Amino acid sequence: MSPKIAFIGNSHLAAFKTGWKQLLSSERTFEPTFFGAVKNTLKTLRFDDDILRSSDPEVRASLLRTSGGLDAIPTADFDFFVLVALGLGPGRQLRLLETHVPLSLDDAMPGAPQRVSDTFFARVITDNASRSTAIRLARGIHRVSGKPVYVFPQPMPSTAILGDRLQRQWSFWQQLASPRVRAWAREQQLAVGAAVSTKAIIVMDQPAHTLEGQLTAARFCESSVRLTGDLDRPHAEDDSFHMNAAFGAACLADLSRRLVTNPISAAPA
Amino acid sequence: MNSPYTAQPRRAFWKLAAEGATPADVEDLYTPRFLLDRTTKVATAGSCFAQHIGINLRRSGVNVLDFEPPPQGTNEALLKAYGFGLYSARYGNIYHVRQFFQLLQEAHGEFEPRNAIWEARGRWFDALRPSVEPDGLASQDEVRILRRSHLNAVRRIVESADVFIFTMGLTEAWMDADSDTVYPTAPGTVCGSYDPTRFRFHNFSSTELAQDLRAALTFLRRMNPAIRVILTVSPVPLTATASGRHVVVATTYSKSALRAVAGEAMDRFDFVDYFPSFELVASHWSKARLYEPNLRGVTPDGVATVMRHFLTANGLLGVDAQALPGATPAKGAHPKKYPKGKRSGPRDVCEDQLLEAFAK
Repeated sequence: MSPKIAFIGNSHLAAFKTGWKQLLSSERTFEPTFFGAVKNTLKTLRFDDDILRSSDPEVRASLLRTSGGLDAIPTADFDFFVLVALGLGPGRQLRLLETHVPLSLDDAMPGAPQRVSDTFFARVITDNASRSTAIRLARGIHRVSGKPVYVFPQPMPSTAILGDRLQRQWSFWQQLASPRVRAWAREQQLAVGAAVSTKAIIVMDQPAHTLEGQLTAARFCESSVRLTGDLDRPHAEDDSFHMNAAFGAACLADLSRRLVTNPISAAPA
Repeated sequence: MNSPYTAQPRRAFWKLAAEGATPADVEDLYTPRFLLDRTTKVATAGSCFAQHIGINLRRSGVNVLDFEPPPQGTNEALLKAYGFGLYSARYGNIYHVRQFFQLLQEAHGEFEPRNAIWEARGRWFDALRPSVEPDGLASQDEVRILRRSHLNAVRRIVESADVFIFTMGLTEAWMDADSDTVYPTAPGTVCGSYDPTRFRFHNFSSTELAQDLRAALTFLRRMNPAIRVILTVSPVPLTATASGRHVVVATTYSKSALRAVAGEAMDRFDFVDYFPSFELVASHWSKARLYEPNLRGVTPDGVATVMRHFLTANGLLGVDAQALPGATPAKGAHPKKYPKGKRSGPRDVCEDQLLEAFAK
């Protein structure tokens, strides 16, 4: 019997929900239910015994729509949990570089508004990740249910962001394209992932083949759709942050392989 | 008979203005020499108590400069631990007048501190602000790089500020034996190690304090001819003294000397004002109402009372930070949003308090 997995996420969940349909049947090794609500509204989820509920009627309506019938998340009904984005992501960590640059990148990012120590920078990004809705929810779910939680951070923006000089953060992402900064960013990402991961909370890497350098390859961003409605409304053309079904399928395929090759058993709650 | 006291206002008489009054309800205690408004660019620095001033002014919507602002959305406790958001830059606590003057001079290339990088646990610390990097730095070079960046911020503060609020805390200091560089705390407290051949104790005399304060104020005006200064004296007693005297005696000397030179500076310079936070908290008249049971820390109510007097006198009480149309902070000098924290009783980041660990 296929394990039942609850996917919980913000707008980035749309890629996973649409990606499911693109998954090869051989990779459909689990039974997903998608629970999504846009922006950071899922921070309103609270445990009512072992059921995750929101007091926000709009969130409940969104959960009902995305799951196909459930306005709350009965954790006892699922074998695993997958959290998508929810405030966790290397891009979000790296955005700190817009205002504060660690000493180890001092010469790679000249003109930095403010230099800080590497220690401080690492503590900030780790602390921010730890306090993200994703990690807080992951810890809560595991504490209550004893079940493993996989977390997919928000993907890196697509390379299309580099081609649009009108993008507010264009110059920032340009700097991140340098190999030196890329290597440093990768180190930070791994360190943060390790810091917030436990045996039962696994932060997943973005699938390697979806990356082009530090950013997501543009083809994974084309025709991405919004989580609202019937998943038929496209994002704005200049949205370089939300990915499409192909991206979602790639993440799901990675997850499927992970569940087979490195399964984590549920611990007693 | 004609008496010079006939024309004195009500507040000049103990019986009318002090007897029966409390810190919470005393009237007319402070008449600002110059008023702050919500567009005034205010810089803050000083001893631990000064942290309350900056934090509370900011919460009240006053434009408190910060040229080393914190990263947005970061946990407040983490920021405080690294010296963010306490003052107008990450200088840490500045307890001494000479320390303040040396910082100003150093930021403008007129002073070079010596023996200013200390080691502890295999890491390196800026001895002039050891509390801002609690884990230390990987190398002495890193200390120098960050200090250069910090001094740029200090320079910008001096250039930009309309008003500088400086809270004086201590007269007792530890200095480099050769260069008279003043440290905020004794070696061996946060970092470093005490070596009597390299460090010496000095208790500034009132004459020295007055000279240093005059020099610092003159220097500020030289760099920014329009700047005004508000002096205060911290009401927090010494945690420990190295003077050889009883700590109560040593505290009384320190606070008396600092209070005296603050008054003298106000009389001498028309761009200097004095705000009586010390009197509100520490004078016998206030009956220690605003102190914690240890008679050393100031209660959250005490801080609130002090700030209420300051804000009321400046017509700023009740100004909501969110309702400040038209306030235009200097670019980069005032973050849009500071982390929200408890409204009362944030714990000070205080090296002086660490000396209690040596009490046996």
